[in-house]
Amino acid sequence: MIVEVGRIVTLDDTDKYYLSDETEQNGKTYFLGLKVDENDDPSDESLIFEKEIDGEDVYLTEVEDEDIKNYLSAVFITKMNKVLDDLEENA
Amino acid sequence: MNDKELMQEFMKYYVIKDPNKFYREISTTSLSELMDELNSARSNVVEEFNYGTFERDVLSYIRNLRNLVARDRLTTYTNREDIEAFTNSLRNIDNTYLLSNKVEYANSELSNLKRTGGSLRRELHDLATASISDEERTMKTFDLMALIRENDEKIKEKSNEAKELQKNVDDFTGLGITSIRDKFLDDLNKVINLISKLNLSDSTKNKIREANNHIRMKYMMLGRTGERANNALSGLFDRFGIGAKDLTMIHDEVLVNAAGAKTDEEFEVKSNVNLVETKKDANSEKELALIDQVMVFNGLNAGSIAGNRADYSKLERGKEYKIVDARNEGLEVKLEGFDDYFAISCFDTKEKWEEKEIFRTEREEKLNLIGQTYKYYGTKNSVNLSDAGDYGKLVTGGDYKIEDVVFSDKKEACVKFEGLTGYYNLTDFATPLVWEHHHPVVNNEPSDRLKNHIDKVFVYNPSGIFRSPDLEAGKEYTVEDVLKGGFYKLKGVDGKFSMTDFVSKEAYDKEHKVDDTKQAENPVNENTENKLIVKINGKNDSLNSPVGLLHPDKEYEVEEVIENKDGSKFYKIKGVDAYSFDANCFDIVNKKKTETLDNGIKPSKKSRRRKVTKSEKRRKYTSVGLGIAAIVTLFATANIAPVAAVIVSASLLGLAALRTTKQVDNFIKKFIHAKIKTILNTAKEKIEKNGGPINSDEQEIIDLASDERFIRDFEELVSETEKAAEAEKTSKEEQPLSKEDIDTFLNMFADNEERQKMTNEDKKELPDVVLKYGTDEQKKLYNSIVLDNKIGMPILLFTEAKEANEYESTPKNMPFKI
Repeated sequence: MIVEVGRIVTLDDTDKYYLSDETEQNGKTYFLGLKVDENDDPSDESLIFEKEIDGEDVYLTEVEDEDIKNYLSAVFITKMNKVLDDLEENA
Repeated sequence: MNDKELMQEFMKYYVIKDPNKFYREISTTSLSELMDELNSARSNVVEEFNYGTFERDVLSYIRNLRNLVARDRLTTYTNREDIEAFTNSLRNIDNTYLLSNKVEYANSELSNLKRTGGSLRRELHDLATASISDEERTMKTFDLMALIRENDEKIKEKSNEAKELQKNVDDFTGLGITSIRDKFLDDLNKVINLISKLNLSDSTKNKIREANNHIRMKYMMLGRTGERANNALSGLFDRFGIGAKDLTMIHDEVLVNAAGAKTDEEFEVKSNVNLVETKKDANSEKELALIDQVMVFNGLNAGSIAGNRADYSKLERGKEYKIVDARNEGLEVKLEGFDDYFAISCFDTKEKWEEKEIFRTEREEKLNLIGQTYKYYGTKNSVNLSDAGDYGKLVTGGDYKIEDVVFSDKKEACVKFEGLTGYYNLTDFATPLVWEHHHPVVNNEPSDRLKNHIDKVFVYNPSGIFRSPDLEAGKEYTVEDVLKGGFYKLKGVDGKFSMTDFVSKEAYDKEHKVDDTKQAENPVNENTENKLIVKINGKNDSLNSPVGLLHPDKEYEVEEVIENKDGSKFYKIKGVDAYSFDANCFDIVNKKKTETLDNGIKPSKKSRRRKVTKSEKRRKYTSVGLGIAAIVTLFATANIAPVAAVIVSASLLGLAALRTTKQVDNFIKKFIHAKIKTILNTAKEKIEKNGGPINSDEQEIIDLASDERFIRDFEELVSETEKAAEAEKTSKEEQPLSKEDIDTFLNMFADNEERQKMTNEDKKELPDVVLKYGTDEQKKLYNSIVLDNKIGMPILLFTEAKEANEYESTPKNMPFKI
């Protein structure tokens, strides 16, 4: 199963998340996921997931530790700010 | 004023050493022009040192630093402690200014109230003689008296508030408000020291250095108004040969006036300065006034007078000396029995000296520093005393017992230690408590106190993501050795581990007894119940426990209770990393058992691992748009923690870039705008609930959320976006599809599983895309599906066509080309 930024993954055959960004910290891979509806339109939920591989299966676990979440939020927004800066420069 | 009067005016103020040159210049330059030029130069000087400008620069500087660090966090991940120390220093700068601003604001309000009181009393006075009936006079008098009483009450309250704030400032700095800027410089130095430790990119380091130099320069300019004024005016004076001595006096006048002058009139040089006659060889009045006076050497050096090389070591601090001569308009004096001329700033009158001594004694008693052992912090701040200690003799983290305390002319505490000579700046030292609990990473030798931990058993209680895979949270470990830098070597385990991640069993059990099932999973953050919630009680506030930093009406969560051997207890307050506070300064509000704490952190839920059962390509919207949507949704739905709030505020401005970029679909733009609005309002509510902004970032959020113009622009932007989104939707069918869209679409169609998931909108596009851009195989597939009525897809097409009366009976008559 391909789990990478830019793809929409379905978890437990129910919820769909668009994986908008990825970061690796201390050997762990984290994704920022935006929940999307059946038409792929964004919903009111964004979560940070930790990626785990078990055999051939890939699992995503929501990060709930506030410290880790705050830190990763800072990482993701920092990356996004850089994207915006680049866009602004190239506009 | 005509030219003659102007000239008289000019001559009145300034000594003209070379009248011929002056008159030659006048013959080619109108004196009025000259005066304009002079006034303009003065105005520039006043503007240059406008206090508000400096304040804005400082705040902008702090914001820039934070943004720079936030942006570079990815590369500084392994240096968390350094980042914290860096952030703490920035917070100190912020707090210093916050306190300073509060005092100024309170004093300003007080002045307004006093003016109102004066106005009301004048009105009362006028009422006595007003031509009105006695009945009306009585009623109005009563009304006015009530207003005056009310106003007086407010003045009293405000006055107390101002005094209290001033006290907080004094206690915080330990130095008095006049030294706030010096405290600021100290913090800046710490910041600079820390920057060198951070693993920042070169460009960020350069930017920080550049910003720092800029602000430092501004500070120096502010602190040396006279010098700057001197430079601004000297070119003009040089033209007329005005001498250095006279310039010093003019400079002094400018110094006096520049500090408070708001207009040219205010700036006008005082009329009693009349230097038309030069007394080059005789002593001036100022000089004469000093001769024969007996003054006390106050221990300062002569740094303020360039070129003064007198040997101050010959003088004894606190001893009286008789002045036998003076020069340089009284700035330098010669003492009986000495050949050198010493700076007058190093001497005080007996009365002033005694006053200082009283101040010193009070401070000593208050701070109770003598006899205490402090640890060297590793920094080096200036010591404005003639007998400064040699910092080279200090060892970072070393223990030094305070033997004496003196205060410089900046009321800066300087300390002398046992076994060492000279004085050191107190800000370069920390109490062992502060040192051990807040600066564990500094590479110091463990103290005896910490050495006592050897052979003791502690429970591993890791914080955040910095947990070791070699240790088990909640398990007991025996300390084998205490290493430099605040680390333990554990028995039976290789490597070293931060001692901040270990607690006593009692402390661990106390924290984790609420829910045993959560312990192993997340020992720190599950501990949201039974937290101690406290509020300051105003009983105490000192340099070692600066509760003045905390909001008097706010409740705080205790992150850690530190108990010393002597029975004293200190609280580490969540969100306030730089200090611990004496527990006696707080009242316990309750043991918090609510689901959401004041700092916004919710108790963690049980994490759930979910299997990825499907993965598909993105089909709609740009990656940039969805990326921003993900970020803003994250912040809009989460409880914004302080760090996040800081970054969000910075990112809000970054998101303004969306106004110009075309990289984001209008639907997503609208979505993002709505989220930003939510973030702003939520953050604003939270900040206000917590008693108002406590730093510039929170203030910025409040300002943005309350800025009518920003809101209006924002609303307009949303409205425009809505219209554009509508227009985009209408014209979408007319727009040519991108190659990426076509490829995605064709791949989806060719994949049996993906094809089943096509939306109705997708199905409508099928004939145009597949038959126009598809491969022969794809076209064949399409025809086979349509013609053979397979997989259910054509049903919709047929149905719609039928409804539209465009389809009769056979697929061959369908309204698209085959």
